[in-house]
Amino acid sequence: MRAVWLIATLYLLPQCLHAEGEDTSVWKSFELIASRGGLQTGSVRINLPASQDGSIADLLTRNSALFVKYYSPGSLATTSMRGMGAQHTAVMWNGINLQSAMNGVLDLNLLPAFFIDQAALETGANASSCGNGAIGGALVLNNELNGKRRLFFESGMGSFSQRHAAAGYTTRYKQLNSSTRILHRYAENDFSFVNYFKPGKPTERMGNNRLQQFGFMQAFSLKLKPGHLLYANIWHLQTNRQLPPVMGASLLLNERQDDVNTMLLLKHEYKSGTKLQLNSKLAGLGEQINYFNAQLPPAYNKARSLIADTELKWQLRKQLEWVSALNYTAQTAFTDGYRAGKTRQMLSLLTRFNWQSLKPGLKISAGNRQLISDGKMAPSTPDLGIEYQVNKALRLKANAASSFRLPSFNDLYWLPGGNPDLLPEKGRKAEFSAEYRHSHFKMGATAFLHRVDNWIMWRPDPASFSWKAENAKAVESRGLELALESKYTFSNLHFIRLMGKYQFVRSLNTAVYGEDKSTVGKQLFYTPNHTGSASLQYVYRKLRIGIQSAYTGSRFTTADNQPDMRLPAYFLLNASAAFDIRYKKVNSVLEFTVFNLTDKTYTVFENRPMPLRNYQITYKFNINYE
Amino acid sequence: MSKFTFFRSTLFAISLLSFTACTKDEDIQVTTESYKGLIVVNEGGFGKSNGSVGVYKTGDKSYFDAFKKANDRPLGDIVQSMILIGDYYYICVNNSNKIEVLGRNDFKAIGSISTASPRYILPVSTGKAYISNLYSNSIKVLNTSGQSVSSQIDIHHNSDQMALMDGNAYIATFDNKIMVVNTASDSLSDSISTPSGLSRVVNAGTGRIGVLCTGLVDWSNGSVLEKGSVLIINQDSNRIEKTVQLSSGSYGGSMVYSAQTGQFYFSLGNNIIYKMGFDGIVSEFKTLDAGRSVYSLTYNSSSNELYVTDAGDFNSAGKVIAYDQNGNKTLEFNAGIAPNGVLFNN
Repeated sequence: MRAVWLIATLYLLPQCLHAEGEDTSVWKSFELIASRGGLQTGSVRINLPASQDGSIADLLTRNSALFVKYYSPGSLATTSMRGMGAQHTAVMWNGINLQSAMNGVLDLNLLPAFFIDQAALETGANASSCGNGAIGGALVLNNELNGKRRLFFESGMGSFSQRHAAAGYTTRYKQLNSSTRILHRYAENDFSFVNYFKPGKPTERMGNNRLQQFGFMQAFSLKLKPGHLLYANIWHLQTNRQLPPVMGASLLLNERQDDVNTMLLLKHEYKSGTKLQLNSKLAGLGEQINYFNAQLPPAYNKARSLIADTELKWQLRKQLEWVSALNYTAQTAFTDGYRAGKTRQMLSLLTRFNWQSLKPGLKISAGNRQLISDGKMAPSTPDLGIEYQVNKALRLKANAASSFRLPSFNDLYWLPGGNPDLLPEKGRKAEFSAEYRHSHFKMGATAFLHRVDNWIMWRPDPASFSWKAENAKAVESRGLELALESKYTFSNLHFIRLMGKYQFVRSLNTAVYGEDKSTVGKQLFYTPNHTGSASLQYVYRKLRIGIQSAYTGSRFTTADNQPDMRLPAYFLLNASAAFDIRYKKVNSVLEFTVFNLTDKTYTVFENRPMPLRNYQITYKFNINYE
Repeated sequence: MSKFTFFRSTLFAISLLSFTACTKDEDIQVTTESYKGLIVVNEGGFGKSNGSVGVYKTGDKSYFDAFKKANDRPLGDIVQSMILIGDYYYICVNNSNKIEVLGRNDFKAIGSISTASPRYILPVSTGKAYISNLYSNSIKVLNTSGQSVSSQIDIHHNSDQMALMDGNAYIATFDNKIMVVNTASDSLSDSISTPSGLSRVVNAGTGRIGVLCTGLVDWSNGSVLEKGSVLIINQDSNRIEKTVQLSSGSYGGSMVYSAQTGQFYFSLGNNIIYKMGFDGIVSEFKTLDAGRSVYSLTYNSSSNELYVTDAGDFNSAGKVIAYDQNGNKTLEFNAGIAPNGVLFNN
């Protein structure tokens, strides 16, 4: 079967990410359910409001039902999608997978939302679209260049000495478009918390929690002769963070981490009429993580990736499209755990056929990606997606796919404990969803089932009295996602918009490959069964008032689900008010937000306190020169 | 859009919010107020502050977090060790930089002593104890009457486990040296070099100190570069009088001595417990069930049982298992995260 898929597979990448046609102001609308297709036929895509302040982690925390795991504001942040691990969410930046070669995850607090033009969640995104690592889903981050001349700026300040300033300028000269953005973020994050480890539970201030980030982004596009477009984009981010100790621990270690991330993308797009498209990309990713600890020698870790891919889309017939892609990725890493460095070369081949009925209503997509890593065949990842537009209001989707994740360099080579004999994780999933739209009402529901075998874990190895990476278990995750958006217009002057999202996940260890079976049948730790969010926005002329709420259910902190070591659920409420000021070509907005309005004491991770009620004020302006 | 549709969607969103109100924290019900029983020191995971001290009641086979129950607060990050001195328990909470002092009977904390990275406490005389620590080249001197650190002794190395014999403290370091401190003068009097992997020093009575060295393992491939060994040190000369080479090596291990049986019981961290007398003959005492591993050993001289803790995956409840002299399992129960020692408060 694998051979059949391999033969069928030619070359080229996944379907390109589609840019949403949103307005170009700096505060864009929030569309709950994307109106256009995402990465994959049959999968569900939820747009996120882009051009916000803060990081992508902040964006997800405020606007999705995803459980974003982070110790403290500004610290390492990852997300769990559909009950899978952090390493199972692909982060796709303009079609390039940013997951670290070293540890397989990307810190979502490193990416500033200001540099993103479109952000979306694609739960259950397929490996054939995103490649290695997309088992739970994908976070899609795109830039766009529309050639409009504008200058935009934002500045804000808030509790705990938070302040940020960012500016951008987009322009065009003949066929050349340019977008430049710079950013600076700073926060002491010395928020108050109740220290319940001390007698009397005094209120204290968080120490060693400063964040500072500088960022620069430059994008160009150049229309050559008809049908040809050149595109270049570079991001450079420098982030310096102190790492706060867990509550109950001392500040003795004074840990801090410096991150330097550079991403470069060069792209050529060619269109021949409506039948042929050829997109070629060359990307370079640089990642440097330097860790400092007052008691230990510093650790210097860096990784580089070179990615080249090309994608061909050919409209064979009116109903049938053939997509073929070839992707080459070379990864190199030098870390404290393998100082001599490690390299890996991967070649993946994809073929996809997209078919749609003559009378719009039915779409079927079938594809497969086959990856070869250092000459070894990775698991094949076929998928099949179907979409059926029942009527104007109702659309049904179904998708089934295989996926995989290669072990990260740390899993394979870290000394001690890296295991070169690790097998790739293998995933399978099936999902069914229905989307209903009627006037200003949208609703989506998805039922899903994921299974992952050879799940890689680090666990104690009695033979060596150390930790070792192993293919430790199989996990099955099933659940339900609901999303809703509604708008009610009272008159031309004012309206209300309501959005809600809910996710139920039951993610269980179905098999443990070691002798100790105490975790079989147990929910993955730090995976809540229930998460949800809801927001209500009232708009009256130039005034917008909103309330956002987020619920995170209780989570076990131990692998064997010790009931007395479960973190309680928490419900957070934020409130905001914004006032738009428009004068000729200048748009500006002044926004005031209260986070954790009810002053709720909560922790995302065990004994990692989070801020109580806090405030932020932001001013943004945008000058359109056209 | 109809008002009815908007009403339905509003109802849905409200239902999303309202189910949150149904969730409440579960209280942990403890069936006893008595703190007598088997005390388990649970190290917890580094950087998680989930270390604890629990009590197991053999009568009703119940286990509860005793420190938290008595003090209405958790203990801290990396609970390294606990010892009874007089009527007070002293708990070294390593990464919390503190020593909690509790009443023996009610477990109520009477004070907390701030000191950097405490590992173990060794009572050396009435009112005086030594504190070893991870990130300091000195031993702190604890005044147990005033519950304060009164002075320090420079020993040139970071320190770990300790044993007392005839006015000398034998202090294991992380540099394969045992530093000997005269407890009367609080001064460094000698040092003893050991093979690689110095792990445990124990008072074996009759003027001898037993030492476990776990050897040297190549991190790059797991191969054993130097096998472990058990040493017998003569207290009179402070010199190694016997070296027994073991068949393997590891990154760590545990050892205890029983005066009742005249045997050392030790493990190299896997699931095999060996025993050895002063004659240097090593034999297997017990092989634990597959999947188990030894994280610590404690000998109960009252019941003549060997207590084993198994830290498991460091992210689930660890186990405490007891064996009689014939290697028969007499007790097994779940404790906290990464149990690393047992005390008997009967």
